[in-house]
Amino acid sequence: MRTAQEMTDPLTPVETMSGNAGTLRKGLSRIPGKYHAYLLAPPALLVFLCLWQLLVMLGSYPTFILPAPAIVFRKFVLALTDGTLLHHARATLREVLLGLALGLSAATCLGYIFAKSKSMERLLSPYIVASQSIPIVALAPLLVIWFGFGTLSKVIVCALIVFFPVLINTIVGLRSVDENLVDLMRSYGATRRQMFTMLEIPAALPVLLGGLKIGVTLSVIGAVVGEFVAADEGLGFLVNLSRGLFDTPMMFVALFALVIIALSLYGGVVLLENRLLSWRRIE
Amino acid sequence: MNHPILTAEGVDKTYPSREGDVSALRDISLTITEGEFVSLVGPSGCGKTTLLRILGGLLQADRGGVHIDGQILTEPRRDIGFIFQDPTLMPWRSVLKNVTLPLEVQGRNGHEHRKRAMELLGLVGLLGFENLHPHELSGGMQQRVAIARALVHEPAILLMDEPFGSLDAITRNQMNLELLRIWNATRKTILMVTHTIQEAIFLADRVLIMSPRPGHIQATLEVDLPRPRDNEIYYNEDFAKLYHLVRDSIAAA
Ligand SMILES: Nc1ncnc2c1ncn2[C@@H]1O[C@H](COP(=O)(O)OP(=O)(O)OP(=O)(O)O)[C@@H](O)[C@H]1O
Ligand SMILES: [Mg+2]
Repeated sequence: MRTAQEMTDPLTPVETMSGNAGTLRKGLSRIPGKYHAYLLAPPALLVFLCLWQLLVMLGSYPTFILPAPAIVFRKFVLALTDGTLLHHARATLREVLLGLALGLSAATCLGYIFAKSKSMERLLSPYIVASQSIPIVALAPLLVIWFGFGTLSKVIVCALIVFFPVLINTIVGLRSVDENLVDLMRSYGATRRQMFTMLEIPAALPVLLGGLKIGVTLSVIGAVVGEFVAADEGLGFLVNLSRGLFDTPMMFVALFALVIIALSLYGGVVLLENRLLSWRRIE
Repeated sequence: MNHPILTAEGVDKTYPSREGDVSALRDISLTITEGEFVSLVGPSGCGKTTLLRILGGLLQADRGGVHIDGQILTEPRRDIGFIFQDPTLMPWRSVLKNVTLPLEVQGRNGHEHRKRAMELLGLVGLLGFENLHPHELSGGMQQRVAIARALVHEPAILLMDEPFGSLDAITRNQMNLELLRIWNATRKTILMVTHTIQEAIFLADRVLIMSPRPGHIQATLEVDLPRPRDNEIYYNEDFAKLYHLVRDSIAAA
Protein backbone atom coordinates (compact mmCIF):
# COMPACT_ATOMS: atom_id res chain seq x y z
CA MET A 1 0.00 0.00 0.00
CA ARG A 2 1.19 3.49 -0.71
CA THR A 3 1.05 6.04 2.03
CA ALA A 4 -0.53 9.43 1.57
CA GLN A 5 2.88 11.00 1.66
CA GLU A 6 4.08 8.95 -1.28
CA MET A 7 1.02 9.96 -3.26
CA THR A 8 1.97 13.61 -3.13
CA ASP A 9 5.60 12.89 -3.75
CA PRO A 10 6.79 15.06 -6.64
CA LEU A 11 8.84 12.11 -7.85
CA THR A 12 5.70 10.14 -8.58
CA PRO A 13 4.89 10.46 -12.25
CA VAL A 14 1.47 11.56 -13.37
CA GLU A 15 1.54 10.09 -16.82
CA THR A 16 2.22 6.50 -17.65
CA MET A 17 3.60 4.94 -20.79
CA SER A 18 3.37 1.46 -22.14
CA GLY A 19 6.96 0.64 -23.00
CA ASN A 20 8.64 -2.65 -23.46
CA ALA A 21 6.25 -4.32 -21.07
CA GLY A 22 7.79 -7.81 -21.08
CA THR A 23 11.35 -6.89 -20.11
CA LEU A 24 10.07 -4.19 -17.82
CA ARG A 25 8.06 -6.69 -15.82
CA LYS A 26 11.01 -9.03 -15.53
CA GLY A 27 13.11 -6.17 -14.17
CA LEU A 28 10.30 -5.11 -11.88
CA SER A 29 10.22 -8.37 -10.01
CA ARG A 30 13.63 -7.58 -8.55
CA ILE A 31 12.48 -4.24 -7.13
CA PRO A 32 10.12 -3.94 -4.15
CA GLY A 33 6.55 -3.21 -5.23
CA LYS A 34 6.28 0.16 -3.54
CA TYR A 35 9.01 1.59 -5.80
CA HIS A 36 7.41 0.49 -9.07
CA ALA A 37 5.79 3.86 -9.53
CA TYR A 38 9.22 5.52 -9.54
CA LEU A 39 10.23 3.45 -12.56
CA LEU A 40 7.64 5.31 -14.58
CA ALA A 41 9.45 8.60 -13.96
CA PRO A 42 11.94 8.25 -16.87
CA PRO A 43 9.26 7.47 -19.50
CA ALA A 44 7.20 10.34 -18.14
CA LEU A 45 10.21 12.60 -18.65
CA LEU A 46 10.43 11.36 -22.22
CA VAL A 47 6.80 12.29 -22.82
CA PHE A 48 7.49 15.71 -21.37
CA LEU A 49 10.49 16.22 -23.67
CA CYS A 50 8.46 15.14 -26.73
CA LEU A 51 5.70 17.61 -25.89
CA TRP A 52 8.28 20.32 -25.43
CA GLN A 53 9.88 19.56 -28.80
CA LEU A 54 6.43 19.53 -30.39
CA LEU A 55 5.62 22.94 -28.91
CA VAL A 56 8.87 24.42 -30.25
CA MET A 57 8.20 22.96 -33.71
CA LEU A 58 4.56 24.03 -33.88
CA GLY A 59 5.14 27.52 -32.53
CA SER A 60 8.50 27.93 -34.28
CA TYR A 61 9.76 29.99 -31.34
CA PRO A 62 13.20 31.55 -31.56
CA THR A 63 15.82 29.97 -29.33
CA PHE A 64 16.07 32.95 -26.99
CA ILE A 65 12.38 32.51 -26.09
CA LEU A 66 12.01 28.75 -25.99
CA PRO A 67 15.00 26.65 -26.98
CA ALA A 68 14.42 23.10 -28.20
CA PRO A 69 15.32 20.28 -25.79
CA ALA A 70 18.19 19.19 -28.02
CA ILE A 71 19.76 22.65 -27.87
CA VAL A 72 19.41 22.75 -24.12
CA PHE A 73 20.91 19.29 -23.87
CA ARG A 74 23.89 20.29 -26.01
CA LYS A 75 24.38 23.34 -23.81
CA PHE A 76 24.15 21.12 -20.75
CA VAL A 77 26.88 18.82 -22.03
CA LEU A 78 29.01 21.80 -22.96
CA ALA A 79 28.60 23.48 -19.57
CA LEU A 80 29.31 20.19 -17.88
CA THR A 81 32.50 19.48 -19.82
CA ASP A 82 33.99 22.94 -19.54
CA GLY A 83 33.37 22.93 -15.80
CA THR A 84 31.06 25.97 -15.68
CA LEU A 85 28.09 24.02 -14.45
CA LEU A 86 29.94 22.14 -11.74
CA HIS A 87 31.60 25.32 -10.52
CA HIS A 88 28.27 27.15 -10.10
CA ALA A 89 26.41 24.11 -8.84
CA ARG A 90 29.08 23.56 -6.21
CA ALA A 91 28.78 27.17 -5.04
CA THR A 92 25.00 26.89 -4.73
CA LEU A 93 25.18 23.51 -3.06
CA ARG A 94 27.65 24.88 -0.51
CA GLU A 95 25.32 27.78 0.32
CA VAL A 96 22.36 25.43 0.53
CA LEU A 97 24.07 22.95 2.82
CA LEU A 98 25.56 25.59 5.11
CA GLY A 99 22.25 27.46 5.16
CA LEU A 100 20.40 24.28 5.97
CA ALA A 101 22.80 23.44 8.77
CA LEU A 102 22.46 26.90 10.28
CA GLY A 103 18.69 27.15 9.80
CA LEU A 104 18.03 23.65 11.08
CA SER A 105 20.16 23.96 14.18
CA ALA A 106 18.76 27.37 15.09
CA ALA A 107 15.18 26.24 14.47
CA THR A 108 15.44 22.97 16.38
CA CYS A 109 17.15 24.59 19.38
CA LEU A 110 14.63 27.40 19.58
CA GLY A 111 11.82 24.95 18.85
CA TYR A 112 12.90 22.83 21.80
CA ILE A 113 12.93 25.86 24.08
CA PHE A 114 9.50 26.98 22.86
CA ALA A 115 8.04 23.51 23.19
CA LYS A 116 9.24 23.37 26.81
CA SER A 117 8.43 26.91 27.84
CA LYS A 118 5.16 28.58 26.97
CA SER A 119 6.36 31.87 28.40
CA MET A 120 9.45 31.91 26.18
CA GLU A 121 7.19 31.25 23.23
CA ARG A 122 4.86 34.08 24.22
CA LEU A 123 7.82 36.41 24.65
CA LEU A 124 9.58 35.70 21.36
CA SER A 125 7.05 34.34 18.91
CA PRO A 126 5.53 37.75 17.98
CA TYR A 127 8.95 38.84 16.73
CA ILE A 128 9.49 35.64 14.84
CA VAL A 129 6.08 35.80 13.20
CA ALA A 130 6.65 39.46 12.37
CA SER A 131 10.01 38.67 10.81
CA GLN A 132 8.31 36.06 8.67
CA SER A 133 5.91 38.62 7.26
CA ILE A 134 8.82 40.44 5.57
CA PRO A 135 9.33 38.87 2.13
CA ILE A 136 12.77 37.33 1.98
CA VAL A 137 13.37 38.96 -1.43
CA ALA A 138 12.98 42.35 0.23
CA LEU A 139 15.26 41.42 3.09
CA ALA A 140 18.02 39.88 0.97
CA PRO A 141 19.58 43.19 -0.24
CA LEU A 142 19.91 44.31 3.36
CA LEU A 143 21.58 41.06 4.31
CA VAL A 144 24.04 41.50 1.47
CA ILE A 145 24.92 44.95 2.79
CA TRP A 146 25.45 43.54 6.26
CA PHE A 147 27.16 40.26 5.46
CA GLY A 148 28.95 41.03 2.21
CA PHE A 149 28.78 39.70 -1.31
CA GLY A 150 30.25 36.32 -0.53
CA THR A 151 28.82 33.03 0.60
CA LEU A 152 27.82 34.23 4.07
CA SER A 153 24.94 36.47 2.99
CA LYS A 154 23.44 33.63 0.90
CA VAL A 155 23.85 31.19 3.74
CA ILE A 156 21.92 33.54 5.96
CA VAL A 157 19.12 34.10 3.46
CA CYS A 158 18.92 30.34 3.08
CA ALA A 159 18.91 29.76 6.85
CA LEU A 160 16.18 32.36 7.36
CA ILE A 161 13.87 30.78 4.84
CA VAL A 162 14.44 27.30 6.26
CA PHE A 163 14.05 28.46 9.84
CA PHE A 164 10.32 29.03 10.20
CA PRO A 165 8.78 25.80 8.89
CA VAL A 166 11.34 23.76 10.78
CA LEU A 167 10.70 25.75 13.96
CA ILE A 168 6.95 25.18 13.74
CA ASN A 169 7.38 21.48 13.05
CA THR A 170 9.82 21.10 15.93
CA ILE A 171 7.34 22.69 18.33
CA VAL A 172 4.41 20.66 17.04
CA GLY A 173 6.46 17.47 17.06
CA LEU A 174 7.74 17.89 20.60
CA ARG A 175 4.32 18.91 21.92
CA SER A 176 2.73 15.84 20.39
CA VAL A 177 4.67 13.50 22.68
CA ASP A 178 2.22 11.20 24.47
CA GLU A 179 1.75 12.37 28.08
CA ASN A 180 1.34 8.79 29.22
CA LEU A 181 4.74 7.90 27.83
CA VAL A 182 6.18 10.86 29.71
CA ASP A 183 4.64 9.43 32.89
CA LEU A 184 6.01 6.02 32.06
CA MET A 185 9.53 7.37 31.66
CA ARG A 186 9.13 9.38 34.86
CA SER A 187 8.10 6.25 36.71
CA TYR A 188 11.43 4.66 35.75
CA GLY A 189 13.27 7.69 37.09
CA ALA A 190 14.47 8.74 33.64
CA THR A 191 16.88 11.67 33.52
CA ARG A 192 16.16 14.72 31.40
CA ARG A 193 18.65 13.50 28.86
CA GLN A 194 17.02 10.08 28.65
CA MET A 195 13.63 11.76 28.25
CA PHE A 196 15.09 13.63 25.32
CA THR A 197 16.92 10.86 23.53
CA MET A 198 14.65 7.92 24.27
CA LEU A 199 11.25 9.60 24.12
CA GLU A 200 11.12 13.11 22.72
CA ILE A 201 13.33 12.68 19.68
CA PRO A 202 11.82 9.42 18.39
CA ALA A 203 8.28 10.62 19.13
CA ALA A 204 8.80 13.91 17.32
CA LEU A 205 10.79 12.41 14.46
CA PRO A 206 7.97 11.95 11.92
CA VAL A 207 6.97 15.61 12.26
CA LEU A 208 10.60 16.76 12.34
CA LEU A 209 11.31 14.97 9.09
CA GLY A 210 8.21 16.55 7.59
CA GLY A 211 9.69 19.95 8.47
CA LEU A 212 13.00 18.92 6.98
CA LYS A 213 11.29 18.05 3.69
CA ILE A 214 9.86 21.54 3.46
CA GLY A 215 13.18 22.98 4.65
CA VAL A 216 15.39 21.38 1.98
CA THR A 217 13.10 22.52 -0.81
CA LEU A 218 13.00 26.06 0.51
CA SER A 219 16.75 26.14 1.07
CA VAL A 220 17.39 26.00 -2.69
CA ILE A 221 15.05 28.93 -3.17
CA GLY A 222 16.87 30.81 -0.41
CA ALA A 223 20.27 30.36 -2.04
CA VAL A 224 18.97 31.53 -5.43
CA VAL A 225 17.29 34.58 -3.91
CA GLY A 226 20.60 35.48 -2.26
CA GLU A 227 22.49 35.01 -5.50
CA PHE A 228 20.04 37.14 -7.42
CA VAL A 229 20.84 40.13 -5.26
CA ALA A 230 24.60 40.02 -5.59
CA ALA A 231 26.92 37.20 -6.45
CA ASP A 232 29.70 36.17 -8.74
CA GLU A 233 28.99 32.48 -8.71
CA GLY A 234 26.16 30.01 -8.15
CA LEU A 235 23.28 28.76 -10.25
CA GLY A 236 21.14 31.79 -9.43
CA PHE A 237 23.98 33.97 -10.63
CA LEU A 238 24.21 31.82 -13.78
CA VAL A 239 20.49 32.37 -14.49
CA ASN A 240 20.95 36.10 -14.04
CA LEU A 241 24.07 36.20 -16.18
CA SER A 242 22.52 34.20 -19.02
CA ARG A 243 19.47 36.43 -18.98
CA GLY A 244 21.72 39.43 -19.61
CA LEU A 245 23.38 37.59 -22.50
CA PHE A 246 20.07 36.35 -23.94
CA ASP A 247 21.51 32.88 -23.50
CA THR A 248 18.19 31.21 -22.78
CA PRO A 249 19.51 27.63 -23.21
CA MET A 250 21.97 28.32 -20.39
CA MET A 251 19.12 29.57 -18.21
CA PHE A 252 17.37 26.29 -18.79
CA VAL A 253 20.52 24.38 -17.91
CA ALA A 254 20.85 26.33 -14.66
CA LEU A 255 17.19 25.78 -13.82
CA PHE A 256 17.47 22.05 -14.43
CA ALA A 257 20.55 21.93 -12.24
CA LEU A 258 18.57 23.63 -9.47
CA VAL A 259 15.79 21.10 -9.88
CA ILE A 260 18.29 18.26 -9.67
CA ILE A 261 19.76 19.68 -6.45
CA ALA A 262 16.32 20.12 -4.90
CA LEU A 263 15.18 16.65 -5.95
CA SER A 264 18.36 15.02 -4.62
CA LEU A 265 18.03 16.77 -1.27
CA TYR A 266 14.38 15.80 -1.04
CA GLY A 267 15.19 12.25 -2.08
CA GLY A 268 17.85 12.17 0.60
CA VAL A 269 15.30 13.10 3.25
CA VAL A 270 12.89 10.47 1.93
CA LEU A 271 15.65 7.85 2.19
CA LEU A 272 16.44 9.03 5.70
CA GLU A 273 12.77 8.83 6.56
CA ASN A 274 12.47 5.29 5.22
CA ARG A 275 15.43 4.33 7.30
CA LEU A 276 14.51 6.04 10.55
CA LEU A 277 10.78 5.38 10.40
CA SER A 278 10.99 1.88 9.00
CA TRP A 279 8.82 0.64 11.87
CA ARG A 280 5.83 2.46 10.38
CA ARG A 281 6.23 1.19 6.86
CA ILE A 282 5.10 -2.39 7.17
CA GLU A 283 1.34 -2.23 6.99
CA MET B 1 6.65 -9.61 57.96
CA ASN B 2 3.54 -7.47 58.50
CA HIS B 3 5.43 -4.30 57.98
CA PRO B 4 3.58 -1.47 56.23
CA ILE B 5 5.34 -0.65 52.97
CA LEU B 6 2.87 1.77 51.45
CA THR B 7 0.75 4.18 53.44
CA ALA B 8 -1.41 7.12 52.48
CA GLU B 9 -2.83 9.53 54.97
CA GLY B 10 -5.65 12.02 54.42
CA VAL B 11 -5.03 12.36 50.71
CA ASP B 12 -7.16 14.95 48.94
CA LYS B 13 -7.04 15.77 45.25
CA THR B 14 -9.00 18.36 43.32
CA TYR B 15 -8.65 18.94 39.60
CA PRO B 16 -9.26 22.43 38.30
CA SER B 17 -11.48 22.52 35.24
CA ARG B 18 -13.38 25.06 33.17
CA GLU B 19 -16.65 24.16 34.85
CA GLY B 20 -15.27 24.61 38.35
CA ASP B 21 -13.11 22.32 40.41
CA VAL B 22 -13.60 18.56 40.36
CA SER B 23 -12.99 16.99 43.71
CA ALA B 24 -11.54 13.63 42.70
CA LEU B 25 -10.34 12.23 46.05
CA ARG B 26 -11.28 13.11 49.60
CA ASP B 27 -9.51 12.02 52.72
CA ILE B 28 -8.10 8.75 51.47
CA SER B 29 -6.10 6.77 53.99
CA LEU B 30 -4.79 3.29 53.45
CA THR B 31 -2.02 1.01 54.53
CA ILE B 32 -0.62 -1.85 52.50
CA THR B 33 1.75 -4.27 54.15
CA GLU B 34 4.73 -5.81 52.48
CA GLY B 35 3.88 -8.70 50.19
CA GLU B 36 0.18 -8.01 50.31
CA PHE B 37 -2.11 -8.23 47.29
CA VAL B 38 -4.82 -5.58 47.44
CA SER B 39 -7.60 -4.99 44.91
CA LEU B 40 -9.31 -1.67 44.43
CA VAL B 41 -12.79 -1.60 42.97
CA GLY B 42 -15.18 1.26 42.36
CA PRO B 43 -17.42 2.76 39.72
CA SER B 44 -15.92 4.48 36.70
CA GLY B 45 -14.69 8.00 37.40
CA CYS B 46 -14.43 7.56 41.16
CA GLY B 47 -10.72 8.41 41.19
CA LYS B 48 -8.95 5.05 41.08
CA THR B 49 -6.45 6.13 38.45
CA THR B 50 -5.88 9.39 40.30
CA LEU B 51 -5.19 7.53 43.53
CA LEU B 52 -2.76 5.15 41.83
CA ARG B 53 -0.87 8.04 40.27
CA ILE B 54 -0.57 9.72 43.65
CA LEU B 55 0.59 6.50 45.31
CA GLY B 56 3.23 6.11 42.60
CA GLY B 57 4.51 9.66 42.95
CA LEU B 58 3.40 10.72 39.46
CA LEU B 59 0.91 13.19 40.87
CA GLN B 60 1.11 15.38 43.97
CA ALA B 61 -1.77 15.25 46.42
CA ASP B 62 -3.29 18.57 47.46
CA ARG B 63 -3.33 17.47 51.07
CA GLY B 64 -2.05 14.50 52.99
CA GLY B 65 0.96 12.40 52.16
CA VAL B 66 2.18 9.07 50.89
CA HIS B 67 4.95 7.13 52.58
CA ILE B 68 6.91 4.28 51.06
CA ASP B 69 8.89 2.28 53.58
CA GLY B 70 8.52 5.17 56.00
CA GLN B 71 9.92 7.71 53.57
CA ILE B 72 7.73 10.51 52.29
CA LEU B 73 7.08 10.18 48.56
CA THR B 74 7.72 13.28 46.47
CA GLU B 75 8.66 11.85 43.09
CA PRO B 76 8.45 8.51 41.25
CA ARG B 77 10.68 5.78 42.64
CA ARG B 78 12.35 3.01 40.76
CA ASP B 79 11.04 0.35 43.10
CA ILE B 80 7.45 1.16 42.13
CA GLY B 81 6.25 -0.35 38.87
CA PHE B 82 3.21 0.77 36.94
CA ILE B 83 0.80 -0.85 34.59
CA PHE B 84 -1.30 1.92 33.12
CA GLN B 85 -4.89 1.63 31.99
CA ASP B 86 -3.67 1.89 28.36
CA PRO B 87 -0.74 -0.21 27.14
CA THR B 88 1.40 2.95 26.73
CA LEU B 89 3.99 1.36 24.47
CA MET B 90 6.54 3.21 22.39
CA PRO B 91 5.35 2.67 18.81
CA TRP B 92 8.87 2.96 17.36
CA ARG B 93 10.27 0.20 19.55
CA SER B 94 9.87 -3.49 18.90
CA VAL B 95 8.00 -5.59 21.44
CA LEU B 96 11.25 -6.83 22.96
CA LYS B 97 12.72 -3.33 23.14
CA ASN B 98 9.56 -2.11 24.80
CA VAL B 99 9.93 -4.77 27.45
CA THR B 100 13.58 -3.96 28.08
CA LEU B 101 12.89 -0.20 28.24
CA PRO B 102 12.89 0.06 32.07
CA LEU B 103 16.23 -1.76 32.21
CA GLU B 104 17.69 0.50 29.59
CA VAL B 105 16.57 3.63 31.44
CA GLN B 106 18.04 2.26 34.64
CA GLY B 107 21.30 1.42 32.93
CA ARG B 108 20.91 -2.32 33.31
CA ASN B 109 21.63 -3.56 29.82
CA GLY B 110 23.00 -6.97 29.28
CA HIS B 111 22.52 -10.42 27.97
CA GLU B 112 20.84 -11.84 31.05
CA HIS B 113 18.33 -9.00 30.99
CA ARG B 114 17.40 -9.81 27.42
CA LYS B 115 16.93 -13.39 28.49
CA ARG B 116 14.71 -12.27 31.35
CA ALA B 117 12.63 -10.17 28.93
CA MET B 118 12.20 -13.17 26.65
CA GLU B 119 11.12 -15.30 29.61
CA LEU B 120 8.49 -12.75 30.53
CA LEU B 121 7.29 -12.56 26.93
CA GLY B 122 6.90 -16.31 27.06
CA LEU B 123 4.97 -15.94 30.28
CA VAL B 124 2.47 -13.57 28.70
CA GLY B 125 2.24 -15.78 25.61
CA LEU B 126 4.03 -13.50 23.18
CA LEU B 127 7.04 -15.56 22.18
CA GLY B 128 7.59 -15.18 18.47
CA PHE B 129 6.19 -11.66 18.49
CA GLU B 130 9.25 -10.01 20.03
CA ASN B 131 10.41 -8.34 16.81
CA LEU B 132 7.06 -6.90 15.80
CA HIS B 133 6.02 -3.36 16.57
CA PRO B 134 3.07 -2.46 18.81
CA HIS B 135 0.80 -1.42 15.93
CA GLU B 136 1.07 -4.95 14.60
CA LEU B 137 -0.46 -6.39 17.79
CA SER B 138 -4.03 -6.52 19.03
CA GLY B 139 -5.07 -4.38 21.98
CA GLY B 140 -4.94 -7.33 24.35
CA MET B 141 -1.50 -8.37 23.11
CA GLN B 142 -0.26 -4.82 23.62
CA GLN B 143 -1.51 -4.88 27.19
CA ARG B 144 0.34 -8.15 27.77
CA VAL B 145 3.54 -6.48 26.53
CA ALA B 146 2.92 -3.77 29.13
CA ILE B 147 2.56 -6.46 31.80
CA ALA B 148 5.85 -8.08 30.83
CA ARG B 149 7.49 -4.66 30.86
CA ALA B 150 6.21 -3.90 34.35
CA LEU B 151 7.74 -7.10 35.70
CA VAL B 152 11.12 -6.93 34.00
CA HIS B 153 12.84 -4.55 36.40
CA GLU B 154 11.38 -6.34 39.41
CA PRO B 155 9.91 -3.42 41.32
CA ALA B 156 9.02 -4.21 44.91
CA ILE B 157 5.62 -2.55 44.56
CA LEU B 158 3.38 -2.95 41.55
CA LEU B 159 0.54 -0.52 40.92
CA MET B 160 -1.76 -1.89 38.26
CA ASP B 161 -4.61 0.04 36.66
CA GLU B 162 -7.07 -2.44 35.16
CA PRO B 163 -4.25 -4.43 33.59
CA PHE B 164 -6.53 -7.08 32.14
CA GLY B 165 -9.37 -4.80 31.11
CA SER B 166 -8.85 -5.38 27.41
CA LEU B 167 -8.49 -9.16 27.59
CA ASP B 168 -11.12 -11.79 26.91
CA ALA B 169 -12.43 -13.83 29.83
CA ILE B 170 -10.29 -16.90 29.10
CA THR B 171 -7.01 -15.06 28.62
CA ARG B 172 -7.88 -12.95 31.60
CA ASN B 173 -8.29 -16.02 33.75
CA GLN B 174 -4.95 -17.36 32.54
CA MET B 175 -3.30 -14.03 33.30
CA ASN B 176 -4.86 -14.04 36.76
CA LEU B 177 -3.38 -17.45 37.47
CA GLU B 178 -0.01 -16.33 36.10
CA LEU B 179 -0.10 -13.20 38.20
CA LEU B 180 -0.78 -15.22 41.32
CA ARG B 181 2.08 -17.53 40.42
CA ILE B 182 4.44 -14.58 39.93
CA TRP B 183 3.26 -12.95 43.10
CA ASN B 184 3.73 -16.19 44.98
CA ALA B 185 7.25 -16.60 43.66
CA THR B 186 8.39 -13.01 44.12
CA ARG B 187 6.20 -11.75 46.96
CA LYS B 188 5.80 -8.32 45.49
CA THR B 189 3.35 -5.90 47.00
CA ILE B 190 0.54 -5.40 44.54
CA LEU B 191 -2.26 -2.87 44.38
CA MET B 192 -4.54 -3.59 41.48
CA VAL B 193 -7.51 -1.65 40.17
CA THR B 194 -10.17 -3.75 38.51
CA HIS B 195 -13.77 -3.46 37.40
CA THR B 196 -14.42 -7.14 37.82
CA ILE B 197 -15.51 -8.13 41.30
CA GLN B 198 -14.65 -11.82 40.79
CA GLU B 199 -11.16 -10.93 39.71
CA ALA B 200 -10.73 -8.60 42.68
CA ILE B 201 -11.66 -11.36 45.13
CA PHE B 202 -9.87 -14.15 43.31
CA LEU B 203 -6.52 -12.38 43.47
CA ALA B 204 -6.49 -10.33 46.63
CA ASP B 205 -5.93 -10.55 50.34
CA ARG B 206 -8.04 -7.47 50.72
CA VAL B 207 -10.54 -5.59 48.56
CA LEU B 208 -10.88 -1.83 48.90
CA ILE B 209 -14.19 -0.41 47.71
CA MET B 210 -14.28 3.18 46.57
CA SER B 211 -17.32 5.45 46.45
CA PRO B 212 -17.61 8.02 43.67
CA ARG B 213 -17.00 11.75 43.57
CA PRO B 214 -15.25 12.66 45.61
CA GLY B 215 -13.53 9.29 45.76
CA HIS B 216 -13.41 7.84 49.20
CA ILE B 217 -12.58 4.39 50.56
CA GLN B 218 -16.01 3.21 51.53
CA ALA B 219 -15.28 -0.27 52.77
CA THR B 220 -12.49 -2.77 53.16
CA LEU B 221 -13.06 -6.49 52.86
CA GLU B 222 -10.68 -9.18 54.06
CA VAL B 223 -10.56 -12.11 51.65
CA ASP B 224 -9.71 -15.08 53.82
CA LEU B 225 -9.93 -17.69 51.11
CA PRO B 226 -7.16 -20.28 51.26
CA ARG B 227 -4.07 -20.01 49.08
CA PRO B 228 -2.75 -21.14 46.67
CA ARG B 229 -5.92 -20.49 44.73
CA ASP B 230 -7.07 -21.93 41.45
CA ASN B 231 -10.26 -21.88 39.40
CA GLU B 232 -11.93 -24.22 41.88
CA ILE B 233 -12.33 -21.30 44.22
CA TYR B 234 -15.00 -19.77 42.04
CA TYR B 235 -17.31 -22.60 43.18
CA ASN B 236 -16.49 -22.02 46.83
CA GLU B 237 -19.41 -20.90 48.97
CA ASP B 238 -17.32 -18.29 50.75
CA PHE B 239 -16.37 -16.85 47.39
CA ALA B 240 -20.02 -16.36 46.53
CA LYS B 241 -20.62 -14.69 49.89
CA LEU B 242 -17.73 -12.30 49.39
CA TYR B 243 -18.93 -11.57 45.89
CA HIS B 244 -22.33 -10.51 47.17
CA LEU B 245 -20.79 -8.46 49.94
CA VAL B 246 -18.62 -6.50 47.52
CA ARG B 247 -21.47 -6.03 45.10
CA ASP B 248 -23.76 -4.74 47.80
CA SER B 249 -21.16 -2.31 49.07
CA ILE B 250 -20.57 -0.92 45.59
CA ALA B 251 -24.29 -0.55 45.11
CA ALA B 252 -24.56 1.24 48.45
CA ALA B 253 -21.71 3.59 47.57
N1 LIG C 1 -6.22 15.40 34.32
C1 LIG C 1 -7.45 15.63 34.80
N2 LIG C 1 -7.96 16.87 34.78
C2 LIG C 1 -9.19 17.12 35.28
N3 LIG C 1 -9.99 16.19 35.81
C3 LIG C 1 -9.54 14.94 35.86
C4 LIG C 1 -8.25 14.58 35.36
N4 LIG C 1 -8.09 13.25 35.52
C5 LIG C 1 -9.20 12.81 36.11
N5 LIG C 1 -10.09 13.80 36.32
C6 LIG C 1 -11.40 13.68 36.98
O1 LIG C 1 -11.20 13.02 38.20
C7 LIG C 1 -12.16 12.02 38.40
C8 LIG C 1 -11.50 10.69 38.66
O2 LIG C 1 -10.83 10.28 37.50
P1 LIG C 1 -10.02 8.92 37.45
O3 LIG C 1 -9.38 8.83 36.11
O4 LIG C 1 -9.13 8.84 38.61
O5 LIG C 1 -11.19 7.85 37.55
P2 LIG C 1 -11.15 6.26 37.51
O6 LIG C 1 -11.74 5.77 38.77
O7 LIG C 1 -9.80 5.79 37.17
O8 LIG C 1 -12.17 5.94 36.32
P3 LIG C 1 -12.14 4.70 35.30
O9 LIG C 1 -12.56 3.50 36.07
O10 LIG C 1 -13.17 5.08 34.28
O11 LIG C 1 -10.78 4.61 34.75
C9 LIG C 1 -13.06 12.02 37.19
O12 LIG C 1 -14.27 12.61 37.54
C10 LIG C 1 -12.35 12.85 36.16
O13 LIG C 1 -13.27 13.67 35.50
MG1 LIG D 1 -8.99 4.86 35.53
